[in-house]
Amino acid sequence: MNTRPPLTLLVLAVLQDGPQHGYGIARAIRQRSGDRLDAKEGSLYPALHQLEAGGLVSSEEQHAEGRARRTYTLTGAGLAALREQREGWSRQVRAVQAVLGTAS
Amino acid sequence: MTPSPAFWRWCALATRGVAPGARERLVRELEAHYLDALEAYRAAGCRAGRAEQLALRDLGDPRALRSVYLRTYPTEGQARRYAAIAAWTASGPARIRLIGAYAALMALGWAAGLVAPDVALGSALLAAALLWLLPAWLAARLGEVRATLALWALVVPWQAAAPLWSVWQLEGGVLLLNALAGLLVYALFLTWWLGPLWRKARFLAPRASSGSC
Repeated sequence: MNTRPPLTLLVLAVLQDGPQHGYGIARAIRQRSGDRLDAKEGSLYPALHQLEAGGLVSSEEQHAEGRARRTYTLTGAGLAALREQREGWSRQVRAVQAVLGTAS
Repeated sequence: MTPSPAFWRWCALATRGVAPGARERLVRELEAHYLDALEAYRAAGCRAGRAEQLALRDLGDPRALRSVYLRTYPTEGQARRYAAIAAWTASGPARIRLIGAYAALMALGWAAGLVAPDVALGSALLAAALLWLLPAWLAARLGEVRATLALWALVVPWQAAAPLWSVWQLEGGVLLLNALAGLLVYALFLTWWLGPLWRKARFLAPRASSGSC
């Protein structure tokens, strides 16, 4: 049983608020979770690239302040996947809460 | 601001064995990420050396990440294998059709032989239709290289499991051993050789690169 939210769900949820680059996504996850979720940031990019290969996000490289950053944007398919994964995660949380409630 | 030597050592360790195209993009994004983190820590008041340590710590353990990267991205060997398959596929679509025809003939011959040994004409007509339809259908849906991989996945079990087709000619114990050996060959073929290429094909399809790191 996997009790951690999948990284892809967190990434899609952050991108729902607007396009973002990798560091911005990692910072948003950390800040929104109150520093409770601290997935190693190097693992963010395989997740982003797989989401892009699956058509759930798109990306564009932009040059600003002498640096190249790749910005990721949620696609329509990504939004649908986010809703589905969010519902799946909510079901999982309710199931755990039901067990804890029964056990107490 | 440029990354420290420690960052490049981290990158070299974390991305060792990843195919060049995937590695370049990954390193470019990790570099931008590291520099953003460095700026944030410096802006928060950290000294340069401490900021570099924290930015690298946030990226994670390079050895642990290397296994993640090698599972996700094509390896150097897989990229070479894919390039060879792509070159072979592009060099003559008729070769794909030939493999498709072989697979279709084997499948139909086996099925027809089970149902009615004398339906050779019907099998041949259906096989002729499949000669044209199957490879084109697969290529339209999967892309040329993945279509090649799919056709090979159809063809190999017929060879690997050949002893099963001569069930009436072998003693029980020998049949079992041959069947197990055939299935083992096919399982290894799928999981070790074809499966990773299939899964990582999306990272291997040619794309326009925007410079190297």
